Amino acid sequence: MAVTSDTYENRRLNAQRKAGKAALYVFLTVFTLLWLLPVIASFVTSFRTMDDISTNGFWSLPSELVWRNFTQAWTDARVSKYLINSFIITLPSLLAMLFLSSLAAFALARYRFKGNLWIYFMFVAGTMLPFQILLLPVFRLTNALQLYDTHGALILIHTAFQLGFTTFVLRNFMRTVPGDIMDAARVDGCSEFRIYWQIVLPLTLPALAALATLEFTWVFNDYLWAIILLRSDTLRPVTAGLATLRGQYNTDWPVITAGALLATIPTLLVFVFLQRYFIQGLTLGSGK
Amino acid sequence: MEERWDFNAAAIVALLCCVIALFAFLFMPWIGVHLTDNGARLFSDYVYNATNSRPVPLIWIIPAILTAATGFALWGVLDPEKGRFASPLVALLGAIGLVYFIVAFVGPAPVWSNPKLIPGLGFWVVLGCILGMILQPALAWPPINNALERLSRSLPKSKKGISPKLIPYLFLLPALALYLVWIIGPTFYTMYLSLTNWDGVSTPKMVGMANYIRLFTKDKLFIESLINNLRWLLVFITIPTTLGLGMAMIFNQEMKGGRFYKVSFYAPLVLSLPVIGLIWSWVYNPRLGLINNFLFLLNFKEVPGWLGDRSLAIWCVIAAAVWRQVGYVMVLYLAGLKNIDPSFIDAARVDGADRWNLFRHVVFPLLAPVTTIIVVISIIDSLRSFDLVSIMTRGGQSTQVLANFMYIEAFNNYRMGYGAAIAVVLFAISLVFIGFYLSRVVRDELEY
Repeated sequence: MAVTSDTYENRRLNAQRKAGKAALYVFLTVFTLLWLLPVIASFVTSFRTMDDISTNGFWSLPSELVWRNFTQAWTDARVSKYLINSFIITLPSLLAMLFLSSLAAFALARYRFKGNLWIYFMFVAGTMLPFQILLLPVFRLTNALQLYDTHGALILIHTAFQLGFTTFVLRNFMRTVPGDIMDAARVDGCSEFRIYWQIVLPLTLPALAALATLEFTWVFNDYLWAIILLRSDTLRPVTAGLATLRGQYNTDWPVITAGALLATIPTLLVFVFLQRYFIQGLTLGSGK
Repeated sequence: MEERWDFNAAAIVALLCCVIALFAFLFMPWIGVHLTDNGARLFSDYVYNATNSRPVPLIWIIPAILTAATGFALWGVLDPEKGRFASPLVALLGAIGLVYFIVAFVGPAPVWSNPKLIPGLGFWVVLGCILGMILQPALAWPPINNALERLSRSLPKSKKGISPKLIPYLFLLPALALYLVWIIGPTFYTMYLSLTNWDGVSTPKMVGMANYIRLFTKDKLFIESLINNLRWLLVFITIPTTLGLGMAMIFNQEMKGGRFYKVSFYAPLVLSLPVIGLIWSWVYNPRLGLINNFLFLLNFKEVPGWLGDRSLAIWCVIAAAVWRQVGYVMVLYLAGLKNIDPSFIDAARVDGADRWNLFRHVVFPLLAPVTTIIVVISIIDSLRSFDLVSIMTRGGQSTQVLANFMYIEAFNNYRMGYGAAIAVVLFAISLVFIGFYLSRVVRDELEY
């Protein structure tokens, strides 16, 4: 068998293909490294000292590698506190938005009633609003409700704003659940709420997982609402905290990059372990 | 026959108590000098040791037990079999709450030995609900339960409880209410504010179109922002889209280690924009940054100032944004490519199409819906751009964009009415694309 493929012509083609492939790999590797260079550079910077960088320049072998930029960012610059705040804001928002939007999505996907489509379109339209159109009224509302400068305000606005997107995705996903199962359950005397909770919701789990992963990074990475609705430094999530850090350690770049890297750890972990869901969420969200 | 404990009613009462208590704690005036402080306020102040922190020790106990109890109660309601665990657990948590109330408010050193602290409405509601949480298991006790059942049977009510017409509205209610109050209502309220001269403190006074007239005729910064937004938009719909498509084409074929390369390109997506802003600020740093340091190594004498250079700064910011966007576009295109029916490709191959023609005449047209979505998303994203500008330049160095301009005017210069007008302009521009996107969604729905 091998004899037929061993002709001169075939060998030449094979060699050409191999060379092409090798070239592609070399190109991709170089390009990828260049692409990630800003991240790699920050990583390296965070282990060096400012003295070292300012005397020897960035493109030199580090004279010493130190750990203290991280400890300084973690404790003195309070990145640890900011991270805790981020979780306090993100997790309740996540639970609330998924629960409420799955209820709404169930109604929109599974019942015929007046205004169904209009309410759905309203949710879809809301996902694309620029935040700026909401800033002032929400700022005023939180003041009126005594919620300004509390985590509650951020939890509420994140939940409300993301409801549009999550309802949109879940509604379309729930439409794919076959109606026969529900009808059968109804005949058996199952209450509507139990149909939602015990039949439809378990079948929606893949979409919920994808949304949870995606929304976690979105809410966790929010910066604008945090600077609008919070005043106390002690309440800030890590995104807004980093801006403070920038002001504090104006020229001490190793500490700033160390803080930025520490701030990224939670979302990075989510990405590493739940990457599949993250990507699914992105594609689900683009509306097929 | 042995009488059975039926926890259905108890679980529902438990859930009601928990939810009402949580709501009352968070939003109703709770306790304080002027009775204006709700639990959310007290909680933040206490936990974070704010300067004017009220002397309400261990206040976090209340929200902690209420949240936990809500979880258990929900569990009990949803799964009647589990009611016999959930209901007593809620009662137990309620008891802990009661102990807290007693120790804090009537114990040896009561909190309100400070005469200025008066309990407010929220305080009493929470106390009442906690008592309800403790007492609710009694409803499951057979004699009471039977009495309840008899009572409910004797009531002349409609057979099936709620009318089926109402059911979808009940499911929608919480989400819709939240959405109307926090998203839809504010959108219209901003339009009203844009017609006023509100400064954030005094009551807004109507000034008609004055804000808009000033915006379009006198404000140079506004024009600069518009132009920058336009640049951002043009770059966003061209560069990341082509780059992302190219990469998706490369990674769509089977290749060794493809996963590693793919991950590298969409990793920037999980970085928060402030982090990206900081990283790139360092890259652009004029003396020590990555780029200029490299140029120095190559013996360049004159190096660009990047973010410090008025003509370059906005492009530097956009470059950082593009860096993040490419991965996103690539993900969407990869998903689109996966959905293409391979038989189309095979048919074209059989017809002898080479790679380029295959892409040009088969794959790209099939990707058209994805491309449209990507373009719309890119446009919306470019109009929303705020974080990078805010972090990297704060809008200085001719990098102002509408979103940041609005923020500065409203929250730094306290010209809230003027800021609202900018927001409305931004909204109006977005509306064109939101409308376009929505029309596609509407079309899809009507085809169903």
